[in-house]
Amino acid sequence: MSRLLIKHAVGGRTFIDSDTNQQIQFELKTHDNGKLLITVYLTMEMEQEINELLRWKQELNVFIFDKLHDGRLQKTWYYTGDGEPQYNVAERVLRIESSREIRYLPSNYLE
Amino acid sequence: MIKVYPAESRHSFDLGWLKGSHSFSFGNYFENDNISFGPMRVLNDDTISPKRGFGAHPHSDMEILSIVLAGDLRHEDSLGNVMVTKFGGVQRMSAGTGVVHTEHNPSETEDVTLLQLWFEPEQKGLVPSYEATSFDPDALSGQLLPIASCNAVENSVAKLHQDMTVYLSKLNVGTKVTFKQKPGRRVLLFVIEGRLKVVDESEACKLLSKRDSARIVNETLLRLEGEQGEDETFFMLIDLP
Repeated sequence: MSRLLIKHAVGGRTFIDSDTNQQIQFELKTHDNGKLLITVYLTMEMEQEINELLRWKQELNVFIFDKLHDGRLQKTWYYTGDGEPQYNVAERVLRIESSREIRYLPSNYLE
Repeated sequence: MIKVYPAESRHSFDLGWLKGSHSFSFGNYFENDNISFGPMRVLNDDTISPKRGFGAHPHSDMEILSIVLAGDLRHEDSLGNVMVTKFGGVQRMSAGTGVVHTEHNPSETEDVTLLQLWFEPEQKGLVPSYEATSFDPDALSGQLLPIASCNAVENSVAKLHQDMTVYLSKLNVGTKVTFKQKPGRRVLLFVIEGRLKVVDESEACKLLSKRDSARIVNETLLRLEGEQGEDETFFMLIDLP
């Protein structure tokens, strides 16, 4: 199962982690303009985390981690610098656009 | 105005493999009134144990400068760059739309100590790039030597995508340099070794010791002097908007 992780790009404070809060759901869709839309459904109150995330919405590191069949961890990082995350308070839905991604295996590098 | 930040005011920590001091809010050290100084966001003073380092991680839209003070620093990135840098070497990464990299101490025996500086670029969405440059350590004596700047010099002054310059300097006891601060500009001073006397145009004086820093605005002329009691003062001056 994939893990969604959203952190502050300056120093790595975690705002959202679907592993530690398994009520968080998310999906990815590609727009006609080629951009990826990451939609995050927050099913419980996360006001503090979301407020902090929105404060730093221009400086987010958005990841999806996947475990490959051979057991290795694959990380996909999404560039979000050319869009602005939107949060619908009533629906508790966070929408993030990404125009670029980097997929890498940490085990291919020194750890 | 010259505001001094003593070394001990930094957020210091010891993880065993990594000993560090953060001058600005970074990670779990977070103070609302210490987020930035102009476009400057990070000044980390790190010491990494042998054969240890930071695994693969991404950056974007940030100018990242690593100044090696002692030991070896190995950089590897998703652009295909692999580089080992020692004292006299500088690594500059313009993260732009994204780059993944690692930083490691490849030595079997020696720590690596480095200053890592992050600056917001003038514009977002730059094409990611990396370079390693070097300066002549002997050229530090008695002058402000630019090591990274918007006015780059191939192989010796790294290119920063921001209207700023990073200088290093070494002053023997009693020697001095001056720096004219232009209106609206900021200056950050950081003493790497020794003690530095900072004198403004009104002859008001501040004394900075090892790892102290100062954030300076609304001054005109700064006189910087190596202070008695130390053989040599090694410091960094950053001129930024």
